[in-house]
Amino acid sequence: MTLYMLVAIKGKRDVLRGLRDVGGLHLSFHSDRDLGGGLWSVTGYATEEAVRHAVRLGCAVTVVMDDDRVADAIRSGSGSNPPII
Amino acid sequence: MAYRTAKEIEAEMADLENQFRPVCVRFSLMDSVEGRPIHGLRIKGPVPLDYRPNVLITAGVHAREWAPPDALLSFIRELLVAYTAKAPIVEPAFTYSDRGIPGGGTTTLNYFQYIVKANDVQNMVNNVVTYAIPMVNPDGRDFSLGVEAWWRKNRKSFNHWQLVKALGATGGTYTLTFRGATTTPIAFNADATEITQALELLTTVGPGNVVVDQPFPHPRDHATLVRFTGTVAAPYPLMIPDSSGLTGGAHRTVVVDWGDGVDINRNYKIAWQKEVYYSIAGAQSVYSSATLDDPEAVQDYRGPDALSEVETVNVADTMAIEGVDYYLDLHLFAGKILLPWALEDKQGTVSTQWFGNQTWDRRRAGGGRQDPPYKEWFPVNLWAQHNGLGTAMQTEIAAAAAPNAAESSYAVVEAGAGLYQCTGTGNDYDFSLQFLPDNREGTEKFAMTFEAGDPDGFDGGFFPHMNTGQYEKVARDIHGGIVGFLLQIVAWAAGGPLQPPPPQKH
Repeated sequence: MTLYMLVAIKGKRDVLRGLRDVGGLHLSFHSDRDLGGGLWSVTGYATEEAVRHAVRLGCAVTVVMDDDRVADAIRSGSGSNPPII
Repeated sequence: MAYRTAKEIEAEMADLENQFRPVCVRFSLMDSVEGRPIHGLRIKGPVPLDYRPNVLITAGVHAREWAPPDALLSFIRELLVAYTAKAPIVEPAFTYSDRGIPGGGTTTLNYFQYIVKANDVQNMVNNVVTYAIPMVNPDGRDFSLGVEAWWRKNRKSFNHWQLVKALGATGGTYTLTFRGATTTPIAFNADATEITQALELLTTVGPGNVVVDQPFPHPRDHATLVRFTGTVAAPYPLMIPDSSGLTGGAHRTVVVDWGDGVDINRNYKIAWQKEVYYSIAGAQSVYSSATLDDPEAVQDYRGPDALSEVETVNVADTMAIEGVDYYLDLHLFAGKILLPWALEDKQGTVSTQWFGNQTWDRRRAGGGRQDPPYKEWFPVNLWAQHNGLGTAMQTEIAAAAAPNAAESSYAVVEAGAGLYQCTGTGNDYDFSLQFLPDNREGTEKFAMTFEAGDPDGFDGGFFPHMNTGQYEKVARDIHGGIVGFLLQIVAWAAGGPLQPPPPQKH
């Protein structure tokens, strides 16, 4: 299964808006929060490559749940045929 | 315990009807794109009343948000059991063993019982009519549970990509058969060029008639997308794999329709033409720049037309046919109770600034940023009532979460006031109907989206863990939110002390 981490991404408004359809990044759109000073945060699932992309754009990325824990939650929830991608 | 598949959800709904008819009856909706049956439940006590508001609660719109359908169904069962027994709902105490905490690590939380009084149970069933569609998007649900966990949309296929994966293989080869012709052996880790060559050699395909892509982030997954094109005529049957040449553990080759999908919650007829509602620049600012209408690239693709998807029409028809007064849509995970509008900031002073005013078309920039400023009309009294309903939910969620109310602190906010405004949502659609000239009933409508779960993901994000208390915590929040929602409507309908009026003419 493809490895994703659950991450919080902090950055400028327009940069975070631009992350909307980045491959390997699945945001919870309404998890956004205004941190003040032009900074916002949003939470979502990201591959290592997507994290690097966000960092290159100037975002700060914090891992909320590592890929092992995410995979474990998915396995536990999906039953006998866990997702293959 | 695992999350229910679409079929298991259908079975649970049938069982609820069998046990609790006539208070609980199923109603039929159109089958999904892939032919799965979709039903709703109507819950209505036998007590005759002159006025009874109609409530619609939906879940499972977004495939990857696993908890809401199960939580909605478990609440309905608890409600009906308690109603029949004239007893309170008593949800057991539980332990949540891996609550995430800022800075990393986890903590353990213990939850009390959650009790809903017997009289409140009777009122929720007797004094409102609740329509529930626990699984709006069954195709997406099963795809998320079995193929790609992060899948969000329905399973409409526009470009007919087929996913091929040599699952669990560490060596050997597999073959693919398309319309009776079988490839030469393909290595378990073949790249796109090798797979293209194997397929182009088939008499049923031919050179230049197949597109192969390996877009997935981890090459070791050996996952490949294949699409037929050129002189290969549609419809395209799925290729048939033969895994007998593979080696490794529990290996097999799978081929599934990858689909492109439509985001049901962007497909409703409310500013669906975002490039008309907004300026082009505004639309590109609100959404993303180059991929405004690419179903493959966009996670929230709006579809080829407003209400183009059967799943969307199922909900919209229920709103219209049943005369829904109050709509609640259950989602994960933002820790918020979202009120309209999602498409633009709101204002309560200028009634001409509304979505139907064409003089503003192609001028709105999103976020009230255009000059002169535009914000969407939301009558002040209606906002106050929405806010009151959201606050009632907020309060009951906190009570249900005792003694950990601080971990279930939900903000009541406008959906569009944050980072990602959007058009075509079910919430905005239902709310918008009251402003249309053909609103024959002339009634007010209330619409809310409940984004359950901690916004930082500490409750497990899209996939609350089934065996550690994460799911129980999120389900408890959802149950508390539904109870708060229904009891506030009951109070308004009864003309109780908290009363703004029940739905009235504008």
